[in-house]
Amino acid sequence: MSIGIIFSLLLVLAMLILMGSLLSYLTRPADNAQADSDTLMIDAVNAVLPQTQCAQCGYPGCRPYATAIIKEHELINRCPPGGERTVSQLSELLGTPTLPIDDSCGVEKPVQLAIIDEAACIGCTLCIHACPVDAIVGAAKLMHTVIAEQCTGCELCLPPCPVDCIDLVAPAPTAANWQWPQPT
Amino acid sequence: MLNKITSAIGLNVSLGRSAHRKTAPFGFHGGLSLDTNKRALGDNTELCSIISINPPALLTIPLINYRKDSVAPKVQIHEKVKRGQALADNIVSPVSGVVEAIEHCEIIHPGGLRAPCVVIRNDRLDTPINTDTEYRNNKQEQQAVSHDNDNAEAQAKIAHFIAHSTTMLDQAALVGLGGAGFPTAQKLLSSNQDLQTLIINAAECEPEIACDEALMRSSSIQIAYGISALSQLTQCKRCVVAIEDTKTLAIESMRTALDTIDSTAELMIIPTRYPAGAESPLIQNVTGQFIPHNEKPINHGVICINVATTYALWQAINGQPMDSRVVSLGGAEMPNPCNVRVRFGTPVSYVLQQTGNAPADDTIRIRAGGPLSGFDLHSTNVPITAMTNCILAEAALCAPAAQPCIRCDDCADVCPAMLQPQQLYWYTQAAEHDKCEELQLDACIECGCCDLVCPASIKLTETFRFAKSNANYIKAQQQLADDAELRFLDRKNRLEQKEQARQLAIEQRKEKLRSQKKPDREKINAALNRIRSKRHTQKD
Amino acid sequence: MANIIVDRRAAGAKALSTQRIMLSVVLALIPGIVAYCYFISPLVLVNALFAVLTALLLEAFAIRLRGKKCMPQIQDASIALAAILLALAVPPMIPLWQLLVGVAVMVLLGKHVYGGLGHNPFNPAMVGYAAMLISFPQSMTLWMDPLGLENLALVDLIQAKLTLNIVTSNPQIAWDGITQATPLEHIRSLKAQSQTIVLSDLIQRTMDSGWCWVNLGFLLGGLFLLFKRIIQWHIPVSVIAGYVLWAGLFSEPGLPLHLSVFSGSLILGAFFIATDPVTAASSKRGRLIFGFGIGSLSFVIREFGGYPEGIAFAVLLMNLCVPLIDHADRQLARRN
Ligand code: SF4
Ligand code: SF4
Repeated sequence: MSIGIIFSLLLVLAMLILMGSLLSYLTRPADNAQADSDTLMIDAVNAVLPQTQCAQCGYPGCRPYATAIIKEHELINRCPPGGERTVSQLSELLGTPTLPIDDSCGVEKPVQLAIIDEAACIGCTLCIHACPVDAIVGAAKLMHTVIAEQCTGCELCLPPCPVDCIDLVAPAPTAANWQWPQPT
Repeated sequence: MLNKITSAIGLNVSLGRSAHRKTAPFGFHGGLSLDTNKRALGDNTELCSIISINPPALLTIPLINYRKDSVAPKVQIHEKVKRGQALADNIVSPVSGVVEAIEHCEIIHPGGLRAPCVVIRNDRLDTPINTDTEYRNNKQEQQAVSHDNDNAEAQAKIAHFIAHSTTMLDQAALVGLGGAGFPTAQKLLSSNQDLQTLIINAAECEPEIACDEALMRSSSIQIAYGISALSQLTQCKRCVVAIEDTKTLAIESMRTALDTIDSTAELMIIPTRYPAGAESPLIQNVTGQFIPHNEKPINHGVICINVATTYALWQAINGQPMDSRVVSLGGAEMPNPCNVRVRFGTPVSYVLQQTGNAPADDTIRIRAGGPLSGFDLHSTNVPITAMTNCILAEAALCAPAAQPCIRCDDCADVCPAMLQPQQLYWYTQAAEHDKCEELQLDACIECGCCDLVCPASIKLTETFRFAKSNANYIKAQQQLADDAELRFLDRKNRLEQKEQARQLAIEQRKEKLRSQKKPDREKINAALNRIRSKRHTQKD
Repeated sequence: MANIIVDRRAAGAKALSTQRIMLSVVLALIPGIVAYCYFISPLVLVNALFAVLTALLLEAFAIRLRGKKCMPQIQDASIALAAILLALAVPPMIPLWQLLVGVAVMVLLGKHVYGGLGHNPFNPAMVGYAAMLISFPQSMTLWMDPLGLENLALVDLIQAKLTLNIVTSNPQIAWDGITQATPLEHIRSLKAQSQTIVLSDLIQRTMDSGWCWVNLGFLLGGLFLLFKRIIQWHIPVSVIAGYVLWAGLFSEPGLPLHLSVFSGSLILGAFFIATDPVTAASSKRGRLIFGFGIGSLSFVIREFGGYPEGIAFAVLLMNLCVPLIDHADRQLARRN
């Protein structure tokens, strides 16, 4: 009697172990992911971040934040421009649960674009120095303008402008980047 | 299960010459036998059914190319332009007149977008630009082709064209009239590599669209010359004119025309099955090759040219650059369906008015393009372009609500791109972009077949269009993000270097100062001593 | 939004809707049902009506529970079809409360726990049938003799339908009146008693019992569906082929093939149950494998299993394999 119980327990145990190892074998990471040295992981995280370089996460740019995520186990919800999409991609990448965006960093906004009111610009070059992605052109005492395709909408040029002539606008859809509406 | 896909392999049309022997089409996967329903052709008996209308007072020419990128204008505001003058790369002025404005105007677009356009005020003179064609005698296009009957002269024109093809194609501003609007010159000039088959696409498989059929019936001889010029230019081994079996009158007139000019082109009668006129099914039908979506037919030795484009080519050889096209007006609510030749840049509303088709009330939807591939217009005040093959007027329609997919697999049965629409739908809904890529969402030609057969009324094609544009958008965003990162890194390096340079400079200055300090020390001490001694003396 | 992209009406769409597919299948069942009424028992109509009504009510209830609008979903008629199939699969004398249990399992556990039409991995009708077979083995294996029916008064019938247990509470229904089973069960019991099977007797029985005619009726309906392209040939053909192959190789020499095909519910299963698109494999090749599996399994169950009829379990088992079949097929397709 007791032998029977032990036997069946052992059998169940054996089956569990077998299936468990089979499952873990089947869901093993792909070979190329096995070299998960920190730099590779940082690269991967960095690729997911939106490269707005807005520093809203509290780090001076996207790669520093990626480094902090990997090296210092920083939370993955500190990137408002990336929004939920980035958080879910990061959680998938890192195998951590998704989190709502941290309000202290900012809120998720639609894509925007800085525009300089060219009449009001006094050519102080302060915004040029503030732009993290070199999207503003101009020279001292001359009018400045934003290269629309290169602006990431990070808002970093707003505070330094002494005459408040920079606005953020929603980019107008063009024939080239227009999307079909999602059917409902 | 769905369709009576009874592919009757070609009609038994007897063809006079052996050169025009009927070659059996290979067929293609999927597709639908739809009711062709070509209202624009009227009662199907008239020989010529293309009406022409006077160009309007104001024409709006969008400055975008086939990839929807905007192109730089070559004219300025208030500049006088002549008919045929280049407004931008591969875009010519359809009338003579004055450039009134270069501004953003609404264009034919499913989103009702605006794009940069040249607005031309028509002086109604149609003064042509001087081209280097010595055959340009007449400015009226009808007259320009009246000499064609003389075969020898036509052959001379063709020879002239072959000799000057690059410049002439450049001036001709030809774009494909099938709907995609790909620049024809680009296609032809890239074809200099061992072209096996030149396919003249005379299959308009979509219901309601009949512009090519009307053109073939009325101008087959010009088309035949155009085909002849094309096959001589490309030096193709084989030239096939593919027509569907339901276009009996067009087949007849094309056969006569090809016979008349002793063309070597074959006439291939293909079964009428949507989307037989789309590039990939057409190539499958004619040559039996399946061309993967990410490869160009030209690399497989095939090019497809729309039959209307060959007509335009012949006009261009006669000195008339492409500036108009035939547009089918159809649909259940079109009072006076017809085919009409329209200059590019003419507003849709003007065309409807001139043909007595102004919509009776605003419940009527005006569509650009066919019932499957087209879309509803947001406004009718948008200019016709080379891609506008059809304008439909339809009553308001409420689409049936989508039900859950019952996995019937009809969609996969009809898909000409051999995709799995059902699974693609699943993954697009879940926004799994890499899965979609794996299942080749990109290969979808947006034909609408799957959408049409789906018993659950799922908006498959619409979803795929969205998903494709969305995937492209995301890719573009990613590209921008990558660029931004590079610029960011550049800037960081630059700032670091600057900082280093500054530090270096500071160091150097300090160093210099330090080295100068030693000899000065004594002078300073001496000066200090002097001052002290002075103070002492003053105190005393 | 005015921006309708594929204009179905202007394109002259004559596409089937889900509703039309389901209703056509119901239509195609009619010849079989008529034969059933005539040769076996008109009680099947009562069962079908009851099953359809309760299934619709239960479905409305389930959809409301899930917080959806029930009208558009009920209209697709898929549950009505499933209910009719279930009613055809159970013995006509089944007490209604037992049928109700089957319907409830079918609607709730077979369909709506997975998210309704299109999401259920198992054929709902067969889920209901299997649940009944396991729960009420006695009444589910008692098939009534047509003669027995005639001997019963209407009152008895109604009483029988409403009783809790068909056998014990109705002493006036004689045992031999209801144990006249389908030919298959007859063979099984003969075999169990190790009696010899007399062929002519068997044929006689099959014809007498009318099962042959019923199955011919279903076959007719199935051919109609094929003709109307509501279903494709792959599944019915492979189901029958799978069955015939093994039966031809292994079954008792006494039983001719056509008899075993035309008795029992192989035809119904092949044309109407296994072809349910939701729970079948989706590609053509996959469907061939799926059907062949059903045919083979149903033979195995008939021949070696504890139940006289194997279609239900065969379908359910193959439903289990569908994701695997689909996946393998996709891999294959990609490799080509
Ligand atoms: S719309 Fe795309 S997926 Fe649908 S049938 Fe056409 S090509 Fe296939
Ligand atoms: S998407 Fe539509 S056509 Fe395709 S399998 Fe599902 S129900 Fe059938």
